[in-house]
Amino acid sequence: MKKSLFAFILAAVLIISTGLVAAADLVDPLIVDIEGYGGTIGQYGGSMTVSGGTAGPKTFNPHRAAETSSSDVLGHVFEGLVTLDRETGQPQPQLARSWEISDDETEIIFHLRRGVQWHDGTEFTADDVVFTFDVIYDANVGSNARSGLLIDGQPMKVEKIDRYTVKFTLPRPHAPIMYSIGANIVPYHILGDAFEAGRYQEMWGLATDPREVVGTGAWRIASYRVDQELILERNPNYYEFDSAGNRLPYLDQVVFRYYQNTDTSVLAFFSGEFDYIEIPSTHFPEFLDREVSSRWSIISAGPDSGTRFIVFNQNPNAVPEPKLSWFSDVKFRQALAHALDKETILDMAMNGQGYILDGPINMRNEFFLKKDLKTYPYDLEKAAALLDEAGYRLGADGRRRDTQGNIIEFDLLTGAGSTLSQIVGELFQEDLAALGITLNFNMIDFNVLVDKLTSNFEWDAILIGLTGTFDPNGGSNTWLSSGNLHMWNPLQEEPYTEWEARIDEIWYAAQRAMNPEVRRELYYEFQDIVAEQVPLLYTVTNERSLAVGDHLKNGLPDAISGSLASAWNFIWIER
Amino acid sequence: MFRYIVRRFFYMIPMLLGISSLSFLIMQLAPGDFLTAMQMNPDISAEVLEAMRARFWLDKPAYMQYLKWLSQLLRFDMGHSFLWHAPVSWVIGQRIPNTLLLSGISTVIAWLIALPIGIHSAVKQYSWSDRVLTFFTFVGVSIPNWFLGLLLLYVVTNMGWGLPIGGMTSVGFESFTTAQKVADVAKHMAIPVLVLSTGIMASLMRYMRSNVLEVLRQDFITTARAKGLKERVVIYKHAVRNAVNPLITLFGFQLGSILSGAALTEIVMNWPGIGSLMLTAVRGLDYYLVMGNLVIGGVMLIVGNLVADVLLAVSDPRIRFE
Repeated sequence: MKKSLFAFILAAVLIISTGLVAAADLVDPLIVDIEGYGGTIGQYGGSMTVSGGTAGPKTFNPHRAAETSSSDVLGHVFEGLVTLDRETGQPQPQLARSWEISDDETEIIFHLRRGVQWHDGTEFTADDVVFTFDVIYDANVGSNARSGLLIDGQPMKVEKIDRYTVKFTLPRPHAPIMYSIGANIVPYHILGDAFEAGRYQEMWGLATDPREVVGTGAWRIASYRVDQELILERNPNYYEFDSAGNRLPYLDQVVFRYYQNTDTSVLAFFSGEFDYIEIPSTHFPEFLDREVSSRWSIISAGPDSGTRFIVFNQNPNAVPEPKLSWFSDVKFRQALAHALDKETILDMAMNGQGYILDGPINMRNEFFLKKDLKTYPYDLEKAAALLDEAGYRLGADGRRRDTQGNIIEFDLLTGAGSTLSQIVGELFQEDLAALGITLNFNMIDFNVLVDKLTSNFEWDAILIGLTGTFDPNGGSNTWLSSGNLHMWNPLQEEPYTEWEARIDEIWYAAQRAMNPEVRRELYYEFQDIVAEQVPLLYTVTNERSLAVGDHLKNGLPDAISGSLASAWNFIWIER
Repeated sequence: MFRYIVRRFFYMIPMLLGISSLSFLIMQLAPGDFLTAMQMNPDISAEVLEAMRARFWLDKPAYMQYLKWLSQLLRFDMGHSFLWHAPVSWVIGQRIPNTLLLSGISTVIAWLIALPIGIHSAVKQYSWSDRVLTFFTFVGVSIPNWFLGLLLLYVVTNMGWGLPIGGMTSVGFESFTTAQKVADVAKHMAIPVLVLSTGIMASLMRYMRSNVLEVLRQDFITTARAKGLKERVVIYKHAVRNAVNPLITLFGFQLGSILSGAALTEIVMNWPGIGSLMLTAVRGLDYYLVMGNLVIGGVMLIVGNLVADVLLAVSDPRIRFE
């Protein structure tokens, strides 16, 4: 009797204590709605090999990483308080379980997820958050996250309320902050001393043993042979679960392989080395030919968020007359917009695998994208009529002159090495020639081009691209008249024209508008102004296509960027 | 001889100064700097760029950057790589063994094959075997390494020989046993070594052939033959011994270019060596990484020449140092 009672008590204690351990372990799990994303509950195990591009990380320190080759890897090892939902692009809980915004919209209180462990087993707390923002705001560190987190040049105040609560105080309401506040959180218990000693920059360079690089993410770095191969292994204590209660991620490891030459990585995919690859647009026909007889399929992942455009220099301090008058004449710009044959560019440069760009908003951001914009379809007759109407008349010698009788001739520059730019430039040259305008198209060293754009300002027209951001506010440097990438007339002290002044107003109003509908109305007006004024002649952007092995399940490109990287936590391999 | 070597080392100083200052100047003439491309990134503010420019000393005039670098070099510090956020010596140190492995094995193979067939061709001049070998060496001399590399890659992919297309290791290398690791690297080296060694071999064989031919025409060979020496002794003891001197000079040059000579092959074959690193560094205007590479290259060239001179003295009793 005594014995059995003892056994009973022992069993009860065991059950309760294991229950407690499990509970402490899973205080705050994050359930990922994989089925909601169109996926399936997976099986554990297996390794996935992906192409890491032409070079690997240059540092393991997320606030020292300036290049995508580093952030592509570190984005899986480190996480922010919030992340952007893979379908809507809206801020979603990550390391923060929830948050509250005060009525005056200047205070955000984050409630942190409890029981989250750093890869070394230490618990993640409010100290790590406060520390991370100290690091980011330190100008000497030079974190890429810094400029997005400054509001009118001012930092936010970040205070620890208790172990699991952090309060952010903003200098003024700033709607886009939730899109940049998800900066990678770094561990105080490891980097704190180095930061206080002013040695943060030296930490976690490539000479560090990758196992000492500690994040909270679903993956940790197992090994790295520089520019050859990097292995991420599964974090066995990760806090994300599928709806059936299985801890994520499913895969044991992800291997990045690097090839200096894109053609070689395509060959490597065909030889079966990679489980999936993003198809370089020049190789698309080859993939199409091979798809039928292969064990992989091509998935379309929507438009690339980068833009490419022609810009005319309207800088009164740099462009001589009569060019300045032409370029600052909106009728001249509108007429030339009709002379840009985007359909043909799409066919010639991208085998039709792309999208026509008509405006400044990222095509993936459905919420802010205005559909009924004024566009300038390719129509040389209309272009000629508009030019005639504005006083740019065709002479008997077949050349067009302005009202003062100056022959219209100018230079278009672009960076050497891009086939797309070459095709755009040559087509535009031909079409303008048909209008009696001489365009001298030149491809120059990219650094020279940047130098012209940002410091000596002496150019007529430039064809160039910019990487896109999801939230419209990411275009601040381009659209604010004081911006350094406001290419047609940068770094203005006062807005030079009325429409630029209006865009400035809209921009600041949109930053303060916490209500998304209000923001949308403002950005709609902004898009209309840009469509009317055509400071930039938008061209085309390519379609992102992926070739994904048929054995790979849940290989779902996200809506924000069209990449598979955000699906790694629930990709699984069928055996 | 010791004094001679010490003196040669002192000669190195002005030469390295010349090499480094000239290359630094040329690099400064290239448009823009390391940070220029970042100016087009909407995520990086002008303020952060200014801070970086100041930290890297890129806002200072070129001569000050050079003097700073030089003073660091005197303390055996080659500076920091912008691109890698790491000391140049560490970045280069990562790559040197890979390049040495590739170039070293290719050079040894090339010499081991080129010398005997060069001698053979000379002794059996105008025989059918000489003609066949001559044909192949002409082909070897005229095909550029990078082209041969691409050609072989194409053949390998389409023939399904199971050879890897570039790189140095396979997926899962970390978990291999030592024997598997050696076999894996060897498999990856097959094509690059073939490419590099044919290039070296072809010209080496031509040199050896013409040197031996020239010596064979000399009077002392006729004398040796007249003395009734065996033909084998005439060739190997007298002819080859004398024909080899110009090749020692060549050997010195090759020693000097052992780190840089494989650059194009490395890039085409995706070999993680010094050559492909140098390309990235030059394109990214990573000044100190380029300078570090050049200084090491310069030292290797000078040391290679010195070794050749010393070897020449050892092999040829007519040469004296004083």
